[in-house]
This record gives sequence, C-alpha cells and structure tokens, in this order.
Amino acid sequence: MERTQKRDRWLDVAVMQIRFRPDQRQVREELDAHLEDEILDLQRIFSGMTQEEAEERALAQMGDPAEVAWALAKVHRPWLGWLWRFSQGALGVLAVAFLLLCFVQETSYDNFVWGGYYGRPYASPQALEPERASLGGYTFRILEAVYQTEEDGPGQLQVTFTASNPRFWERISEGAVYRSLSVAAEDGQRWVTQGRGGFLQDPSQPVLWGMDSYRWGLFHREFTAFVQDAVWQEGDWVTLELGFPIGEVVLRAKVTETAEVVYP
Amino acid sequence: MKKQLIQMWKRRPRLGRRGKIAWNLLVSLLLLLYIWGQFEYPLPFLTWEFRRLERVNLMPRSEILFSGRASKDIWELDGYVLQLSRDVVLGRTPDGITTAVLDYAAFPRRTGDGMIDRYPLEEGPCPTPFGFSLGHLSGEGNFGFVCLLSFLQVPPETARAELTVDMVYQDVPYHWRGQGFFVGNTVWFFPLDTPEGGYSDHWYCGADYTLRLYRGDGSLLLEKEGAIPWPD
Repeated sequence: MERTQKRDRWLDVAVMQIRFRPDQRQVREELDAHLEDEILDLQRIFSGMTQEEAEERALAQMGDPAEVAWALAKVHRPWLGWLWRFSQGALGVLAVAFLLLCFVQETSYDNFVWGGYYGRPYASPQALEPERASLGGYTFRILEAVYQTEEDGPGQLQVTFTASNPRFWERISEGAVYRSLSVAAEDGQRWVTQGRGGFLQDPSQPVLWGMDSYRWGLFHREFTAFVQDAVWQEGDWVTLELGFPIGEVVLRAKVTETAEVVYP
Repeated sequence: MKKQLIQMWKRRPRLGRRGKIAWNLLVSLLLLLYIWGQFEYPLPFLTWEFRRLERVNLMPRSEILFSGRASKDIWELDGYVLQLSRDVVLGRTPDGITTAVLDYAAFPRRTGDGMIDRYPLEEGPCPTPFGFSLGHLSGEGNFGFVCLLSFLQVPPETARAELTVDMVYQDVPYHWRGQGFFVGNTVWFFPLDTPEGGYSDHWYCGADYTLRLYRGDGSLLLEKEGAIPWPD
C-alpha cells in the first residue's frame, strides 16, 4: 500500500509528545499498522472507495493527532522507559559478573552462605533447649555442651554456641569472640583465652584449650570452645561468658552427654 | 506431557512494563548481593568500615579523631616525610580509645582485613599504639618502615613534641628518641624504628616513655612519663 505524506504527518504529530525514543518508534509502528488495517477494512466494506478516500476517512476516525499525542504522552512516561532500559542493562551486567565469578572463584558459593563446613569431628551433637542472650544486635545461644572421653588421654568439654545477626554483612568478629570468651564450672573454676599476641593478664589462670569456628551461615557464625583438665558429668552446669567492651553475655547450659571420641 | 508444558508456558502470566522493571530490579538486587558477598561485603568509605569494625567487635561507638589513608596522607617535618602504609582510624569514647588498622587500599577488599583495639584513656596527652608497621619515613637520602605511636589530647599550643621510648624486646635493649608529626585534632604521630629481627603487632606495648612538649618560643610546656598501654 502506498504511503501518503498526510498519513506520515498524522503519525509524526500523534507520537511527538512521547519523549522516550524507543517507545515513540514502537507506538508509531503500532498506529501505522492500525491505520493500515482500518484502510483495508474500509475498502472492503465500501468497494468503490479509493485508497486516498479510505485513508482520509480512517484518519478522521482516529481523531485529532494533537489530542492523541497528549493522551499517549500520559501513558508513555519517559522516566519509566529509561528505568526499564536501566533495569535491563543492570541485569545484563550483573548476570555477566555473576557468571565470571562462578568460573573464576573456586569457593564462590562458600563465602555467601555456608562458608567452610568441616563438620564436627567428635561425638554427635544433641540439641537442647537453647538459652538466648542479646547484645549489640547479636543473639547468642548455646547449641550443645558435650563431654568427650578418650581411651588414652584427658577428656574434653566441647561447648558449641552461635552468634547471629539479621545484618548478614556484619557477621561477628571471630577475634572479638575469642578475646572475650571464658568458660566456668559450677565450682567457680574458670578458663579464659589468651589475649592478643598470647598475652595473659594473669598467667596462673587456666586457659581454654582452644576455640574454633566450624561453620557459618548467612546470618550467623558457630563457635566451639574446648576445655581440658577437668572431668564433667552429664547434668553438670557450664557457664559461657563473653565480656565485650559494650557489655557481657552470660549463658548457661547442662552437659548433655558424655561420649567417646570418634575420629573421622 | 510435552504439549501440556508448552500450553502452560504459553499461558504464563505476562508482565507489563512495570512488572518487568520490578522483576529485573529484584533479580539485579539478588545478584548484586551475591557479588557483594563474594568480596565479603566491602563498604565504600573508610569511616563506614571503621564503624562496622566497631559493631562486629561489639565496641562502643567512638568519636573519630583521626582517619588517614595509605599513600595519600603525608606529613613533613624538618626535611623528613611521613606517609602511612595502611589506612588507620582513631576514635575516642569517654573511657577509652579505639584504634583500627585496615587494608582499605587493597582491591578487591576483604572485610576481614582489619584490626581494631581498645586502649585506656588517660588524663592529658594519651599514648595509643597501633598494630602493624604502619608508615614510611623518608628524608636525607634514607627510607624506612616505621611503627607509629600516637598521642592524642596533646595541648593545641604545642609547637614541638619529643618522645623517648625505652624497653627490652626479645632480650635486646631498644631505645628510640625523636620528634613527632602533628596530624591534626590534638593527635601527634611518632615514627618508631622497627626492632631488629621479627616483631609482633604490639611489640612496644609496656615500654617506658617520656614525652616532652614545647611551645613555639622553645619553652617546655609539659613533660609526661609513663608506660605504653596494652590493648584491653
């Protein structure tokens, strides 16, 4: 079908208020296709009508192009168009970055969610009703307190606890937990960690055998403190104390089981 | 089964433009969070990292007295130039001082690359160590790494500051005497020479010091003796 200048002018005026160019082009094409259908329909209904007459009538039925332009501009906001393009671009760039990271980094998944899970190498844990305490936006709770015995060697108390925070970009510092940690028995005996650089304020104070961070998730870190040089029974109370600069967390739990060490 | 799946796919709800935008932005946000997490959630500003270090170490929020960037902040004195080799922040609370050393210049930055300590706050000029070897000192054809000892709450009328440090480290006597660099906001840095052989982060904690402050006319303003504190 031949295009006329009048039709092109009408279309140009009808879309000129749409400021987002991709939308302008698309709407113009849609209006043009609609006009095309209208003209063909008119020619089919009125068999004697010429193309020019059908076009004239179709344009008249479409209305004033200036009014059409204002109506279209209200619907096709430029900022929405630019936001759409931006969202497409951002998604594309980030998807490529994600794929690159997956190929380049060996532990790409570990850091984000589950960290390094090494499993508990000792007796199987038994969950107990957790006592919780909160400080500085972190929630602390003891998961278990297990006393392990070995055939040849001293037994060891293993106290596992977590520190969680909904702000996943601020998982608690392992060093801060280590420096603040002490474990106490019912009879008042207390085990502490060595300070920074191995410095002990009271050299006569019993020292924790160690502390490890076995697992972590998106919102928490899990720690295990090890105490040697004492014998524990099921039902004994153990107190975990964390003395941070802004305050203290005290949690108590019962030793839930004694078990023989099982090496992997 | 295959036809059913094709039919379901054709009948899937179609999102309008706003829906597509929302979907794109949601997926972009999830990808951004994942990528951010892979680098352990770095923050754009040094002071933001310092604040986070305070929070993850459950330390009180301090008033920042000094923040300095590696290879950017430079101080000069009598032909010598002192430059930081790591980013540092120094903050004060009513009952203590917080110091942080960050490898902020490293890219991609890892959130774990930072050390933060608390020290007691004393009356008057207050010594505050930093961990690690923190600076470069160059001048008169020499260049060397130095450990920085800071003093804050130095009286503003101080024109010159001299420090003497004495200790025995790893069975070897250590003596240092030198002048300080004024870095702003009552804070002065003293560039201690590193000891022979290896040394730990807080090697000069416990050392005896004598601080002498002088006015512009050369008269003695203040003399203070004490021991460099250990971190709390």
